Amino acid sequence: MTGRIPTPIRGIAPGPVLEVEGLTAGYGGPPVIDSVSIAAKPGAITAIVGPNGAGKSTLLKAIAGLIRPTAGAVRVKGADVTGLPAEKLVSKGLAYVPQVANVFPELTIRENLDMGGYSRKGGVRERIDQLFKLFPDLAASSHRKAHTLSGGQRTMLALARGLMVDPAVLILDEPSAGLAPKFQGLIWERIEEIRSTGVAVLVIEQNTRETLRHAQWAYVLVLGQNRLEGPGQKLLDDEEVVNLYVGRLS
Amino acid sequence: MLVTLGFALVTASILALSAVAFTLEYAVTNVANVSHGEILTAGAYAAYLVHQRTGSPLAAAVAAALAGGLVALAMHSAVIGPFIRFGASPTVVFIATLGMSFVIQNVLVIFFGAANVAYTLDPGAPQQIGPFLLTPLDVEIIASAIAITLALFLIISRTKFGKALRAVSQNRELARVTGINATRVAASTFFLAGLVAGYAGFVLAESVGSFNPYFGFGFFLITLTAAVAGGLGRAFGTLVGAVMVGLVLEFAQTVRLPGGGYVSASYNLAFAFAILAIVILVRPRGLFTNARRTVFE
Repeated sequence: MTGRIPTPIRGIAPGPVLEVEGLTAGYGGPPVIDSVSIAAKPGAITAIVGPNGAGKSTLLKAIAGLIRPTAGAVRVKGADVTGLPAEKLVSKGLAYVPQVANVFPELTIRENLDMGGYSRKGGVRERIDQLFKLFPDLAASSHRKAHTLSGGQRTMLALARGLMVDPAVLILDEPSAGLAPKFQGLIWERIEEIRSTGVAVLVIEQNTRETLRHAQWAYVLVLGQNRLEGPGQKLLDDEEVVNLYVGRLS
Repeated sequence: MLVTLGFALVTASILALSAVAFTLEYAVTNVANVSHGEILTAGAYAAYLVHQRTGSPLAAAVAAALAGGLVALAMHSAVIGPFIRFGASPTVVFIATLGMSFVIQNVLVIFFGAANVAYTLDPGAPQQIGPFLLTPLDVEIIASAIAITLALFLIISRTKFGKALRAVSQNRELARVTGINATRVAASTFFLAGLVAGYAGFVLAESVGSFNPYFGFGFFLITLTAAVAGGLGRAFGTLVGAVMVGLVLEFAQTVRLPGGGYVSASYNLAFAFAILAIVILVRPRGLFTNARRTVFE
């Protein structure tokens, strides 16, 4: 039996900051995800891959508190947060970046980041300055409204907004979807930088091959259930995974 | 001509207050609150009752604002907020607010009767102010409308609450995952809008000279035309819409009919909807908005 918690990659890795156990959720009808269990560790990229309709986005929404799970548990830093509404999860250390509509279009870059820090007790300005170092493009146009930004810049802003609360867990729903290849590479560079600061990054992506290359650990989700898991690179070498979910040439 | 322009400014001022409040309610809920007019009615009754007891117009104005704020907060807490939380579509919430409007009107009839209540303040002697002939009361109404609008503008553009209000208005789900309690922001917005609409009910009642339980509903229809014509959910567009509708309504009454006499004020609503129809033909989402949704979508 494989353990629910990923085996350490090297040395003694810290325990997971996000634990999802037997999560079942949907939109009122039959459950879209059924008893899904995953975990994400600090300083690691954890990916969820699987075919369209596997329930990847639903899983993220259930974790982020946008839909209420009907069964199972979610723990952040050991604290049970199951069923808490989205706005309360932010202060528990969980930040979620949706796939589309992930910035406030009529707010400026700075206002978007101000809002990102809405639940912070203080230090909003200092945090914005820190993030401007990580995302210099945003600093240069901090008074521009978000709807005037290019797709890549918008994604950068969405990432920065999520990071405003110093999250322990950053959840990304297809961060590079619809972006030019040049920007996809840039986004992954930023995600790697974020990971290196000790954040647990949980990501789902269309581009399975690229995602598995970056992921220290990945879960394959099929029809709303756990199918396989393992280190990203190992899954890439797995004939079955590649044939079924990655495709030879992607 | 200039006398009419003076009247028009008063009408536009009251309309602007009502329409900006209505558009704020819309902004945080994505629903046209059909019971908005009853906030004005509540303001008028509260002002009248307090004025009778205290004799102070200032106390009446404060009472109107507070009554409006509390009624609007109750509307959100009891009906609109829960419907939205349970995932009702905007159409369903829209109809719920229509029902709420009738309920409030009839409750007011039970307590106060359906008859008109006369309510006039001494307008003072008209004076020439710049090009306009205005009474001191007119000047107070116009000045207070400008002051309130400016205050709202500062709150919305500068404060943390104002940014949260805009965030909820632009994307409620994203606001929530950003840590903003959207329900609480919407409730606070309703209270704020209610303060403004309650005060508008007071000035409307005293400028008309009487009111009854249905008085707010009639004005709501004109408010709706102003807000939709200007661009629902957009404070600036709504203001322009209100001034435009206010001007047209007053000037329509100066048109001399072929047989002598003038166009009756009873046609106000018809004119207001004519403006709305024309605007919607040209710009279905309103004049000053790039919104994706119209009021009934």
